[in-house]
Amino acid sequence: MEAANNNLLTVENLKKHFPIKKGLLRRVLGHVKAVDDVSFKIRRGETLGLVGESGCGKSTIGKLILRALKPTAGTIMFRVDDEEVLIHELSDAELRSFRRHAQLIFQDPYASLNPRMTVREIIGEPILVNRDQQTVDLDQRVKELMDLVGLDSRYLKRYPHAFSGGQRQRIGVARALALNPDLIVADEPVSALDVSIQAQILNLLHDIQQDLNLTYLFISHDLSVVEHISDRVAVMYVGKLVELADNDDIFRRPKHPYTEALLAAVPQISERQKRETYTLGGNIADPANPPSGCYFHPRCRYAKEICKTQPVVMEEVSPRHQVACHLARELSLKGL
Amino acid sequence: MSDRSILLEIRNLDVNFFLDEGTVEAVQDVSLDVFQNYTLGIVGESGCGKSVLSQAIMRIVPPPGKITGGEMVYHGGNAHSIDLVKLDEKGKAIRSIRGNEIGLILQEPMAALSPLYTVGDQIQDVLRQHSSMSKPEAKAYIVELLDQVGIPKPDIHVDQYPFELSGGLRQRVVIAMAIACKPKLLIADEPTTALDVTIQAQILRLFQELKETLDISIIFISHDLAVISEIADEIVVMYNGRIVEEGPARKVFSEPLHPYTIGLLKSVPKLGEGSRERLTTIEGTVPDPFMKSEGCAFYPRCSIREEQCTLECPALAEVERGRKAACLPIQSSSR
Repeated sequence: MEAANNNLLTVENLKKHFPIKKGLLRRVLGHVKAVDDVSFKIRRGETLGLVGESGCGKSTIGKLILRALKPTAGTIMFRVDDEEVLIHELSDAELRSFRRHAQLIFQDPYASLNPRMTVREIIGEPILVNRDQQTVDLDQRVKELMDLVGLDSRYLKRYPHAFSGGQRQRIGVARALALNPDLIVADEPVSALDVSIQAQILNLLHDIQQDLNLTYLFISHDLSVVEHISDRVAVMYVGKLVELADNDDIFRRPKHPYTEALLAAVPQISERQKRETYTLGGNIADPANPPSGCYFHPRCRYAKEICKTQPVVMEEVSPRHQVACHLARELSLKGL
Repeated sequence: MSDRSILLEIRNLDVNFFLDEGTVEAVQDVSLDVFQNYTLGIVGESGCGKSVLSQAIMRIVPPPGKITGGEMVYHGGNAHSIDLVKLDEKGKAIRSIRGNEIGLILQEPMAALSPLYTVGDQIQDVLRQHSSMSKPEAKAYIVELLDQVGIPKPDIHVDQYPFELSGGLRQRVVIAMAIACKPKLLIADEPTTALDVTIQAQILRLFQELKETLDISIIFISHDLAVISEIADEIVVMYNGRIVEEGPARKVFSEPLHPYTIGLLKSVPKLGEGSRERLTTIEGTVPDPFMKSEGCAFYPRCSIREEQCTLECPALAEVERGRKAACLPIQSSSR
């Protein structure tokens, strides 16, 4: 069913280990395994949501895909016009021309826009840097982009401070779209926004995806937002994927105890009585010094002997549903 | 609810910030009651005045902000009532209330903790201000406190520095500090916003437990509707410095009255809804704080606006039993 060339992005066994250095000689004492043996695919036109708590490595994955960081090991394959580009091997010069195909939307619209540049300069910069031949008239193109993201194109010459948080995020989206990318990595794009503005930006992302056939890697800690926007969802814990499945399967039929615990922890607006749920105890494991066996076992209420000793790998337990849990086949977990 | 005794009565409170660019009316004509052993949730978007309101209660509004009107009558222990507005900001009276009778918990635990002192020393500082405990007594009490807020191995953590603790544990330390003097009222301003969801759930549960065991009242401020709905008994929705809706938590979220509350609730994606549909949004943005209008501040974004709304600023009034809204069309239709 899944045509091979339908995958825009194929990530295999991706690793990023940061050395921990100490002392005068900067001796390497160990490694933080920020991303450890992660594999997934994203099909053209779909949205893959990547969820996890702070420090789990989700942003590092985004940076590796855009080659803002160089992977320690593993492959990242990107399909451009029926040609495969191996992102992890690109030289600096090759990267420059590749970057037009994959762009980033940042979390904080206050930190990610240069206050000394006008909107025209901010949105036009990627076009100038890449000497985009298709763009004859820069002003015209910038105006088009502003229209596309719902900004008044009369404000072309204004500086970021003159815009509200939501409008700034629209500027960030327009900049990401400037070179007609295929893939957009959106790293917590609505987390810094107010509730009513968050909805506007989510709608914008939804609309431009339809119009421009964009593919998203949507990184967020907010499960409600991820459920709303994603086709498929990957759940990450301490550098590893623990579950990957279609949206509905993750939220209604979770197969990893961590996913179940995350779902139970999300506060919900309800008229009902307070939910009878359990609260996940303990803290997130230290990626520099992870527990033995399954990294989640010290917090897992189902953990057995095997979980403490045997490492886990991702396995397909039902079609299109991968889980990294020794007990995945025997547990029956509670979704929404 | 009505048989509960009132702990804090706020009437017509105004807080203005006098800036070079003009005056910002951060809190306008706010009246509310805080009952004993009860959680009041205050919800609103950034700039709506919810944090300034909490600063006003603690009398720590930063300059150039000033309380310009109204009263806040605190019915503390010893059967005496004090109007907090009349107290000298730096005086003895407010200092005996601040941190002692009313505790404050902020969003970012590291902002409330000093990196230079151990957890135990910092809590002891608070105790020394307000009680005459001896040092060994205080130490034993602090270990007990840390245990009460769910810090594992409290006898070890008491001698650690904040940087040695995780974000969730730091927030627990701040909570321990806030309840050290057995306050009657706890003000928590976005206490879980900087935390991960699983840790947030732990802290919310802790607040519930503390409310029961310590018999305290909590003013819980958040931008997150879902968090508020899990924790609050009564809810106040703020917009542009004013209360636009007030009522029992369950009612406000199941049958919101004010068009702003309705819009807010529609615009959040709710877990379990699945859907990749577009969300309903509230068009436009919050008003410029320097702009003053005669009528309702929500008028430009409102879905049920009428001509009368531009002429007169609606006051908060009861439209149903126990439920208030500041909206002229709703008030006139309920009459």
